[in-house]
Order: sequence, then C-alpha cells, then structure tokens
Amino acid sequence: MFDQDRWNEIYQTLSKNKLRTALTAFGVTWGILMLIIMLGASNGLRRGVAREFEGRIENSVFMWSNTTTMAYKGFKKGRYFRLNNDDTEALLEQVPEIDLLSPGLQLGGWRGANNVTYKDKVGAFEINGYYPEAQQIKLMSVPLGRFINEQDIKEARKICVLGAITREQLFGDQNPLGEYVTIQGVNFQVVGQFKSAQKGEDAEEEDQSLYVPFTTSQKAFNQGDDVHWYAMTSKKGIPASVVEEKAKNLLKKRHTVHPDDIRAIGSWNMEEEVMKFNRIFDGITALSWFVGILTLLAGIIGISNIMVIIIKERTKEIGIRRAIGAAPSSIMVQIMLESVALTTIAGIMGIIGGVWLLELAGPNIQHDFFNDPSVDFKIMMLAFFVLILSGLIAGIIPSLRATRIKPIDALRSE
Amino acid sequence: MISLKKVNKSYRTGTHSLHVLKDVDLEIGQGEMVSIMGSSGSGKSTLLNIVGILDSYDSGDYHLNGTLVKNLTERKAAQFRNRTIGFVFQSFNLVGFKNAMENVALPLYYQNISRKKRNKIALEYLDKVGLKDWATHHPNELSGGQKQRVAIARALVTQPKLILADEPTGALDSKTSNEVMNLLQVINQDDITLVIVTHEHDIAQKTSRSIQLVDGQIDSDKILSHV
Repeated sequence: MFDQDRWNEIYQTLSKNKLRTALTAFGVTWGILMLIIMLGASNGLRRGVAREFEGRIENSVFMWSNTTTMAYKGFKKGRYFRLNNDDTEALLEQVPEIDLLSPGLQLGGWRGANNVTYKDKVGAFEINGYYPEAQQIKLMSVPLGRFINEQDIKEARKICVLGAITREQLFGDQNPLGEYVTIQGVNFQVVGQFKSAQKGEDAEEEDQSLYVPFTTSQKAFNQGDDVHWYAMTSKKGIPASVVEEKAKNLLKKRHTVHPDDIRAIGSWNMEEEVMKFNRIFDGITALSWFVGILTLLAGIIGISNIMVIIIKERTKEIGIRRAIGAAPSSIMVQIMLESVALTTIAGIMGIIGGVWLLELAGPNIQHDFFNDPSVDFKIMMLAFFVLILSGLIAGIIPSLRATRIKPIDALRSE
Repeated sequence: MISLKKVNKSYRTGTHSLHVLKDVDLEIGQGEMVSIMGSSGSGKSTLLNIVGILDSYDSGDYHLNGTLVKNLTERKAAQFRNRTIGFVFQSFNLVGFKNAMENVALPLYYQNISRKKRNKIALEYLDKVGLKDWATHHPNELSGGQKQRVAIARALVTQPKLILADEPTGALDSKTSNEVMNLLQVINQDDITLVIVTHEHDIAQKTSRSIQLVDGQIDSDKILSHV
C-alpha cells in the first residue's frame, strides 16, 4: 500500500488532467470547508455563552416573590406577598437538600438617587443585605479586608463591604478599611472589599454595590422582617431543580398560594439554564454535521462520477495491466487508493481553508455571545476519518467498474 | 508446450451464435516459431486469446506447459500470464504516462519485485533490444519500431517460455517490420516459443511453421524448411 510506485501512479494519473482533478476535488474541499466553519461557529457560540455563565455555581438557585395569579382559599388572585425571616428559618429546617442559603434585601439600585456619602464624595449604589454564605454562593473574592461574618449578623453590626467599583469611586487609591461611609443617613464602617466572579456587565453591576449584614439592612433601613429574595445552593449530588421545587412548595404553603400557581414565586436555576443552552448547542452541532456531511456527500458523488469516466478512458491501460499479470484485486486497490488520495488531499485543503478562515475571522468577531470560533484537534481528526471513509465510498463504484474490464477489452478498443 | 484438443469457441450476439473455433487440434513444441495466418474472421485472434489465457473456451482441453488451463479464476489466470507468457500487440499497448524503462518494468511490479531491482532488469532488456539510451523517453517520443521493441522487451522481462504476438508488424513499415522480425528470430534462438498472428506472407515466411486458419478450422499446417 505504501509502495512508492503506487503513489507515483496515482500522482501521474491525477496530474494528467489537472483542471478536471481540481474541479472534481473542489466539491469535497467545499463540503469539508463548510463543515469546519459551521462547527467552528457553533463552538464560538457555545464558548461565548459559556463565558456569560462564568462565575456562577451551577447548582445555585435564586428565588423571589411575585403576585399570585390564582385565587386560593379565600384569597383573590393578584395578591402581593412578601417573604420574611420565618421563611428563612423554615427553609433551613425543612429543606435538608439546601447546602448554603442567604436571604437578600436590596435598597437603591439602578438609576437610583445618590444614597452613599464619604466625606465630599457621593454616589448612587446598590445596597444589598446578605448572610456570610453569599460569598460562597456568588463565588466572590475578597482581596481586601473581610466579608460579612456570623457575628455581624447576630449583632446587626453597622459594617459594610464595598464592591470594587464602589471602592474606587469613593476612595480612589486610599485604603478604605476602618473608614465610615454614610448610607441613607446611617454610618457604616468599611471592613473589606469584594470582587465579582462574573464577567462583563453582570460583574460591573455587582462591583458597583455595597454589601451589609442582612439583619442590619432590615433594622437600619426600616424593612421590618422582609426578605426580597433567597440565594441558595443544593447539596453535592442533588440537582438544583430538586431544591428549587421543594423550597417553592414550602413557601407556597406558608403563604397560602395555590400549589399550581407557577408564577407566584419566581426563580432562576443556573443548572437549568446551562442545560437549556447545552441542548441548543448540541442541536446546532448536530445540524452542522448533518448539513456538512450532506454537502460532503455531493462532493463524494462528484468524485465517484468523474472517476467512473476516468476508468472508461483508462480501459486500455487497465486492460494492458491485466494482460501482463495484474490481478483484479490489484486494480481494485489502485482505484480505491486513487479515490482516497484525491478525497483526502481535497479534504485537507478544505480543513486548512476552514481553520484559516476561522482564525482570520475570530479576532474580528467580538460579541457577548460569540467567542473564539475554532475547532479542536479531535474534531479535525474526526473530519479526517470521515474523509478517508468518503474516499472509500467514492471509490466503490469506479473500482468495481475497473475490475470488470477484461484484458481482451484493451486489445479490442482500437 | 501448447496442446489444444477439440477446442470450441462461440460468441453469442443476441439470438445469433457465432461459432468461431471448431474442434481445433493443435500441438506446438517448445522452441518453435509458429505463424498463424488467416483472413479476418477466421478465428486467428480468438485462438491467440485462448492460448494467451485472455479468453475462455467452451469445450475441449487446452494444456499449457503440461498444465490444464480451464475455468481459471481471474487471479490465477493473471498469475499464469505474468509468469509464463509475454505479449506483443499490434498497437504496442504501452502505458502512455510511463517512460520506456517503467513500461518494461511493469510486469515485474506485479511480481512484487522491488523498484530498484525492477528498473535494473528492465534496463538490461532495453539494452537487449538496443534501446538503452531511450530508457527515460515516453512512448510518444518513440517511433513505431522503437515502441514495438520496448513492447518486446516488456514481453521478455519476466523470462517467459512463450511469447504471443498479435500482428506485431501490422503498424510498421517494411523496413522496421524486418527489424522486429529479426529481433523475434533472435529471441527464438534462446528456446523461447513464439506464436505470431499475421496476415502478411513475408512475415509468415520468417517463421519455421505456418498454420492457415479458415472459418475456425485449421486448413493447412506447413513446416517451412528454409530457416
């Protein structure tokens, strides 16, 4: 198979009619080029979205209350209800699947009025009340000082942790630790600074806030025992959706909400989002393979077709070979190899072209949902394997034709 | 060397059946130089194809070198042709994209002989037919006589016991025809059996035995004493 003569002969036959060979091969080149580009693009989409999900724990669940949409036990629909501290205790006691839990409370926020002052600096920031668990749930890093701790919660201390942007806007290069900032007229001592683990706009939003102990936020800002939302994670090995379901049912029961009222409590489950996107991208990848393989199939049929014509033209040559001692199997192997060689060379050109185009286009396409469009080595090897298989398929009909040539046909065709 | 007993061959074209060879009995000994003559349609080419295992026959027996040649698989037939028979054709039948040396070496390729060794042997045989200097030329750069001599070198390269030539001079002028026939006579002196199909009398005159075919039957079988 690796006999030099065999390859010499393949080279000689293919180079005898360069234009025809090139046009024939183009079909396969085009097919594999499309396949690579489509796979690369779908990979880019997948990576772009994966980047959006970065910095979030996959088993995290967020939950908040809305208005009811169904009448239940004497209550009309459209009733607004608030989560409260008793709910927090009930969740911790009655849903053992919960690993970490933190209630959340928010003041100020997007386009809010100036609410934080430090000396002569003022700014409008989001004020969030949290438990210490929030740090782990949100994967936050604390490069300076410390985060909220248990003692802060118990004693409702007036301390705060600054987001990275908040710190920069209020303190600049100055060390903020131990300084006092005024939040809606109440003084809070700065104990630390955190940095969001998320990317892009989400990170900016989070870094532009201040965290205070949850208990303090309720007391200092007259929020009673209100809870705006819960952030929680499921225990290891338990799907986030299980925690989501159980916590929701418990809260519905506690607030006399119809069990089938799906909109009364809103929630966001990271795991489900990831799975949803994975399903979409698996679909896109499958579609890319499907379309790519079909395009490639058109190329294969082209090669097969042209090779049948070449065989017809080579009847005499093949007849001579048969007369002087070539066994039919030898002829068959030769035609098969020619087909595989042609397909593989054409395909490699397609792979190189596709990868080159992706490399060329990649840096120029910067988008939130598109990142690094490329194919990995495994896919290239798979494409290569598909090519060799295609070559074999394309060679079947021509090589069978070739073996049917009898030596006397060569002597007759004059 | 060659022994045919009551060999019959007919071709079927649609509903018609054409009986080409009728009970042909023929014995050709080792080292003979035989010409087969006959008008077109007399069955001389069919006879040569059967002797050369390029075609099958319907009934009778054909022994080549003591072996019964009947119902061989394509593979066996190819092996047989490769080892024992050399072919020379009217239209030379060289492979166009190979040079003279590669053409001569081709039969050895199917014996799985290494490229280096093949080309060395091929050069020796090109030398024998006086074309060593033309080894790297392609067939379209050679004259008809040269092409036929390359084809003869190719037929000789496997050291066959039998060479079959189908109108070897049919496409050549009389001067080169003579040269080719002289070359074949030299080859015959090495105890190689030669069977030449021709319709030219002066070509047949250069052989030692002339067989005349008429309508698929042997009409005459003469020993030519002049050689």
